[in-house]
Amino acid sequence: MRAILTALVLALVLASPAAQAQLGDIFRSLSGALRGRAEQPPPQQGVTPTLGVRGIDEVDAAHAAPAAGKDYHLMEGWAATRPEAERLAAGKGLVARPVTLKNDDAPAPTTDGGPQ
Amino acid sequence: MKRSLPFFAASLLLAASAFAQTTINLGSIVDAVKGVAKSQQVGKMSEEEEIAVGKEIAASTLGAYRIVRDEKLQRYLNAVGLWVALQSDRPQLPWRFAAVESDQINAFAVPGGAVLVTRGMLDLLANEAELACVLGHEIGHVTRRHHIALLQKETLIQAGSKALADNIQGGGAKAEAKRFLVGEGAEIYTRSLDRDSERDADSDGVLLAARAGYDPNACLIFIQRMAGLKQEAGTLASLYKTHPQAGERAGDVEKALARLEGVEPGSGARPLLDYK
Repeated sequence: MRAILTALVLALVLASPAAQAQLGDIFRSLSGALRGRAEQPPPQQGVTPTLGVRGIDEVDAAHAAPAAGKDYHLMEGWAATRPEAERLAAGKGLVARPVTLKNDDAPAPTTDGGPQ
Repeated sequence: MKRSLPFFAASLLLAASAFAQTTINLGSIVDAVKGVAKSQQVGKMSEEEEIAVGKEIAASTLGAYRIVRDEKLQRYLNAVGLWVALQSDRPQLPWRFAAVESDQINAFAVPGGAVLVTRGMLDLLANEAELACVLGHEIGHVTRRHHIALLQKETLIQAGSKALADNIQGGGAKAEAKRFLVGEGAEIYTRSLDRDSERDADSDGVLLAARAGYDPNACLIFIQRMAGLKQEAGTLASLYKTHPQAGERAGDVEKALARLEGVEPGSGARPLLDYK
């Protein structure tokens, strides 16, 4: 009995952490079987990613569903074209300017909008 | 002693087989995680992939927030948004803008070029220059791929965990990672991006508004107005979960204004909002 226990302890100590986890699972399964109880799967760990949208409220996000096809198509349908955007700008007297930030490598736009 | 020998041998065999099995699995698990890591470096995600992922995320998000059924408002928002986005270094993205029904004062950017703005935010704006600042901030997050970087970091962690559990092999890891990128649930996006990302986006808001011909000082005025709102207001709850305090941001915006080159201070337009 002492020899058996020694062998098991040695195996556990020498094994990698993953092996230890697997050995732990085996022992739990064995002990569960001996107790006559069904083994529960290990609990889910970690955070479930993600909608990729910063700022969404948790409660609302919990109800987010991929089937909002109609609203998505509406959004697609309302997208502006470049001429429409330029027409709005012209109507408001907006003129694109080649502005940069000091110590910034971002290229300045062309005068018709968009970077060089 | 003789009677205990079979038991001893059986125990050794049990321990050895478990160890051997784990050694084999560990090797393939490491390969899977490396594969995910390679495929998920920010610079290597193609624009096509980014747009595809963004479309799925946008569609999913619109399940959480109802789009405002006001075509005039939506078309106006898209025209202003696109004009501002054309001043960025990624004007070619399929930029889409939408107002969503929510009293919360907030705006959200989705990878690939979709920006959502709440009704609460739109009601707070005083003029079109302030709208340009808000949209410019979100456009900055998209052009700099802030969300993608955060998603990929989480994906790598999740892929690692899942690979340990499921022993995902080789090419399957990329498809699995993409599934995580779209995912279910939004916990990661109820948290904030890092301070540098927010500072960069605020600078982009100032820069893009100025480039688009708006008065960039409107960005500071707007942030100061937000800082003056009572924080107990429920409408600010989601904003402050994910953004630094408006007071802090005012400092960042002031610094960005001081760094502008190619524009006279105080110059630029502050047109009225078409929807007010």
